[in-house]
Amino acid sequence: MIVMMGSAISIGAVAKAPSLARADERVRRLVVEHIDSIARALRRLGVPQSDVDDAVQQVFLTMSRRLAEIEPHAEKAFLYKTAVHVAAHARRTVSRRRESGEDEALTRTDDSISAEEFIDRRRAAELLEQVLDAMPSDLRVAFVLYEVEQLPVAEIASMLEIPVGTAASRLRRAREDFQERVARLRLRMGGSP
Amino acid sequence: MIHETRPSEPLADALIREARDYRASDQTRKRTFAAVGLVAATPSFWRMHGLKMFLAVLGVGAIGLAMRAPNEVATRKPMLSQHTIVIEAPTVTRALASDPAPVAVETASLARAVNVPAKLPLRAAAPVASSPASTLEDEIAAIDRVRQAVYANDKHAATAGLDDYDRRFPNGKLAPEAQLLRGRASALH
Repeated sequence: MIVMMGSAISIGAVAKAPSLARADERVRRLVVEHIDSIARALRRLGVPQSDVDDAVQQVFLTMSRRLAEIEPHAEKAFLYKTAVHVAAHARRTVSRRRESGEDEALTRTDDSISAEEFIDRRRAAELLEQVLDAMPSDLRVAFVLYEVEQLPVAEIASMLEIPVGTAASRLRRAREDFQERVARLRLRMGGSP
Repeated sequence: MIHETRPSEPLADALIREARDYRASDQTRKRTFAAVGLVAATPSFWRMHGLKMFLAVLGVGAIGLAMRAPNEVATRKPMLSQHTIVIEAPTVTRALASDPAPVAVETASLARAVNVPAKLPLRAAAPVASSPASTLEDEIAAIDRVRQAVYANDKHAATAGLDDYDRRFPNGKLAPEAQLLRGRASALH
């Protein structure tokens, strides 16, 4: 009996470790494969740079907790869908604060770019945030998922739980909205229309 | 008119390029790995320690088989190895039953929850468990219970299990894993 107990511990330890290891490997793979795109999506969906760290963790923690429910073919969609929710929550709860000097393009210590390029990109990052922040939330989501993340319309429709036609229509309006805002921005900057 | 759509607006193209050019920082990467209980940029903990675990488990099994011999049973009590802990667990359980310490209670309930024979925080047994295989096996079991609790989203059980681990293995080989799990447990709701 005593020996049986010892064996039970041994068998238990052996039996549990592989399933945990498989779960860990799956989580690791998903983090490695998708952390850049999820961080980017969160940032472009309106999460302040200072909060991206927390938001990324939130997305992947949610994923790891619900790992067993996520079908392998739906992992990417789950992560983006979670990111959309997390970003929406962040936009609602975090006060909009201007983050001059905080953007990723502004703080990077990349010696491979020139000072001029650095300034150009800094300016571009500021303008980008300005334009995206001004877009209606639903259009911004569609725009970011399609133009920035380059996801197919059908996938976006599935993520947002809307018909494909609605997604396509929303995307068209989003692109128009973006272009119009950029054109107005260019005018304000003194450029030709 | 200024509101016309310009698909090839250079500034729009530049902004979209800027939007696509974003990567998670190293800090975000490290913190995210820590948050989900993994070590960044290294192979899985379980893969790294799989051989150790296997050998430790084999060691426990071998000792168990050896104990089948009657003469070994007669000398069981003086042996200070991992199965000694199992043998004496009921005694300690009874001793702790009157101990109101909440951690001991939580540990026992955690062990029941994950259907693993209770290996209570044996204050007396731990220092005399001289076999390295025994210590590692005990550590693995303790960490395994914590991981199960984390996977079950049970913050209370995970924290209690980690407190138990810290108390039993102050210089444990799996301390880094325990530290990661504590970070992950603290993030549970």
